[in-house]
Amino acid sequence: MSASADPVRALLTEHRELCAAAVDPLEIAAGLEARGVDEATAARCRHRDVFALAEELHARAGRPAPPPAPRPARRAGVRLALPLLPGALCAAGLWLVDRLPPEAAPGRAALTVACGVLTLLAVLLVLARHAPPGVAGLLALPPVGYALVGDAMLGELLVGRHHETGSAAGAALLLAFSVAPIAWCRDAFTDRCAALLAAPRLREFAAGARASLLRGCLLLAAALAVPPAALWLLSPPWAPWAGGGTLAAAALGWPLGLAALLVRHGLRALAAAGLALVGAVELLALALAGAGWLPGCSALAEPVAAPVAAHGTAVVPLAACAVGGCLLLVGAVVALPRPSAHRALPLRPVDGRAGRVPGTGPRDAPRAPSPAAPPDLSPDPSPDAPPDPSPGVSQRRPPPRPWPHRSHARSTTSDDRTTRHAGHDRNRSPGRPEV
Amino acid sequence: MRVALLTEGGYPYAQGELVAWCERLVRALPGHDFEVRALSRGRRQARGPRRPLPPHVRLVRTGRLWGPPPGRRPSRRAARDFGEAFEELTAGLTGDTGAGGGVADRFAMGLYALADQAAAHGGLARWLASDQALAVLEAACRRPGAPRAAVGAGVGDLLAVAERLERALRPLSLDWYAGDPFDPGLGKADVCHAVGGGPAALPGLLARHFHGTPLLVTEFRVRLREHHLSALAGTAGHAVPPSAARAPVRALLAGFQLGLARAVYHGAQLITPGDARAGRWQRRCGADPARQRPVWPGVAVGELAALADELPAPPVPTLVTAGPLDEEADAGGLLRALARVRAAEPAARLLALGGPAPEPGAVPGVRWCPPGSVEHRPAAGAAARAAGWAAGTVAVLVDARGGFPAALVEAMSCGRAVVAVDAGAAAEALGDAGVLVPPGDPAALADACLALLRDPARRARLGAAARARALDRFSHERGIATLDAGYAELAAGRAAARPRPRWARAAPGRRPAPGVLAGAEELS
Repeated sequence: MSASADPVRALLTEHRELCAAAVDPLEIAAGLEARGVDEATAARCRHRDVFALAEELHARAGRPAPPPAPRPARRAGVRLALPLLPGALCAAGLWLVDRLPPEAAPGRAALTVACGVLTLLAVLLVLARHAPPGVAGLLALPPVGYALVGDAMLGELLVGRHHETGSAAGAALLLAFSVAPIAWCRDAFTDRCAALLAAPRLREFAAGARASLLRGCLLLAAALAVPPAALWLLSPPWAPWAGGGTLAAAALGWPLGLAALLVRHGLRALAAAGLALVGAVELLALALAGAGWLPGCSALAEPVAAPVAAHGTAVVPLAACAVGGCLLLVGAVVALPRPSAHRALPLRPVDGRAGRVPGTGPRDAPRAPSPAAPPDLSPDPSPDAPPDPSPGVSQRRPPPRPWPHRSHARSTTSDDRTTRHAGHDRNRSPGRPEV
Repeated sequence: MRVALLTEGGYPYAQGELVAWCERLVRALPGHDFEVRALSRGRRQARGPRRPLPPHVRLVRTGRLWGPPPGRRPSRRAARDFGEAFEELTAGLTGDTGAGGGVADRFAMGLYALADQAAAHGGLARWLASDQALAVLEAACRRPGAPRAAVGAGVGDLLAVAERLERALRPLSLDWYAGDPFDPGLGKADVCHAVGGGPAALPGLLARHFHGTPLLVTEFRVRLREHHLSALAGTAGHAVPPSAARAPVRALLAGFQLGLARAVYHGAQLITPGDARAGRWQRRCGADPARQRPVWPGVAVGELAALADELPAPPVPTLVTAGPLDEEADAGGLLRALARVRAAEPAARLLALGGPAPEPGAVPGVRWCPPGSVEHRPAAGAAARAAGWAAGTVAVLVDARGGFPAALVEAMSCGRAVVAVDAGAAAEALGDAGVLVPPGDPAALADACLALLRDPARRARLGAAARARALDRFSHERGIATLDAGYAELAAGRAAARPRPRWARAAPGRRPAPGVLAGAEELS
């Protein structure tokens, strides 16, 4: 038996990629029809219709071992270095401000504002690039503002002795440098989850994600301690270490980091709630301290004044960060290991489960102009194709094919020696009339 | 009669599929009350312009198949009910035949059970995007009988599938069925007419399930086939996100599309396939041939014929074809045939209507034809196309791509004698009103063209026969008349099956005041 005596084998050879990649006989049937195989060819292959032919092709097609999907080249250098940008900008700005003479007050103010704006933009670039934070981003501003000026305000508002407060410059520097560990831990967790998405079991995924989350949190806590330690050791004159106030600024990195993690996975409401809690505690402390000045209301300031007198002004932001951080941590531990929290992630195949044909991956094949493609169930359909004046004219284009291939219908003749695959007549039903 | 026109990604939005066809249908039947219920496919479509509606469109409701899932998290009890129904549906999805019946039955049973639960609990809300739905899907992939490709599904695949199913099943959560003060609901409609299978037919299917409203499904391009074609394009890396191109996702979604197609074809009282191939696909998915009526997409035959009649005959023998000339359209064979024709008739030339001129070297046969023998002419609009076809002596149609051969019918409407390659639906459309040649045979094509070029009498006879055939079968009016007859038949069947209550019989033919319903347009 030669290969040419078996027209189905000839078809199989010609459409090998199609048949190997198909997951369903109907997929082969659609592909064959799009490539010009019609009822006449099916009849030549001794089949009632294209569907029966496709079933035989599906049964006979070899399943190639799926190739290991190429890992996309990641710009590891950029991903590692970019989170350091806010800290670098902030440090450079503070150093420049310190170098200016004290009489150039307008210049110092302008430089400070410019440095702040640039740092904020860099923070947005690092943290909000993949997931817009929405209202959570706005709610992060009150705690950050309190970390910069809140201690001084509280010290002024409280009746009694003057409390020692931290420096805004040191707090700003610490916060800007905290962005780096936050971004690194977040990206590490996201990458790990993307890799875990190939896990075959939901339970496996949840366990892996939970372990990865706890590891990430520990890592974040450890990494957040590095900038204050470095500041304490170096203690540059333009951003002096100022005890508890600076430490409180560093502690704010904890709720902010957890909120960034939640925002990255689409849990914006939870992140906003945690940050709102931090801000609310701090603003409540300020409000109570302010209310103490009202006649007859001095008792209102007592809940704030007592701990501040005992431990310094930093106790308020530290307590706020502890409360908000606990809420965010509980929320993250509950919500993030859920598989449904990871649908916004790009799916990256990390093992050989991809069912793609070799050489036809998205990066290999040129993009075909197919505006008439039906937006099926794809998440981003394109309904903006121009309205078709007459339906059916804009037919979907199959992949281009060299011209001589059309002649296969004639060249594959079927003679008496034609064999069919044995088990493929069972699904045949009696012929039905055409429409 | 009250007809509910169900569309997806089309009318009344100005941009989308089959907008012009739906608009023509609605405007051609002013005797019926229409309510248009449209599912939009994207933000740009939903926010984009809409077509102006004639006054007999009483109501427009829209739903969206895009964006984040609407609603809140369902209650625990609702979630349990949804889980049971979804389990049944996924059993049908992955090919598990239960004790009760076949796969299709389980899918349809699960679908209707899910619809019942959604109606009872006020919509599925976010449930299909929850972990519970994922767990059900995971279990379905591990069942015996699941497709081979689905067995290897990872968590990411399940997420991709659940996301798409959530979008596709959103019609289950719509409030189109029960009726409220501003919307009588699909139960009050006499006929549901779904333009396209898939999600567009889902509301009609549910209206039939809840209220017994008869369903008519018009399908020019079979949804299941389009799904498979786009999945194939996805494996080749075109226009499909990488997550959807993985084999487990494709297997599960193919199972869903097949189940939905089966349920729709089983539930529809009348199915109108757009061509013979669509009819074959529908029958393959369980459509009853007795319920199928062909409705061709149609061409403005009368308009084209009137325009073409005013134009003079071409001075030189001219073959006219529909562009663009490229490999897909088998232009190489056509140009070889042209070279042969020119060997016998040196003045002959080829006119290609529409599409850009091919790049040099793109079509192998171009080098066989001297420059100037092939002319390209852009042709947009009925007048330009009629002029183009009328500028030819003989129309040559070689495009073997399937679907409705609109260019062939245009040429027939213009009264040209047609030589067509016997592929796709050409034989079905042309009948004996033209010359058919076997595919891939330039010599036969050239011979047929030469014979017609040299025989004006036969040319005229075939042209007249072609025009008569086009007028008879492929005009817009013909398809609309078929659909109108279908409406009447289905409405009569429903009226016979369920006698109207006494209050309705007391005032026969009473219509709701136009202002009440027309003012109820909802922008959702």
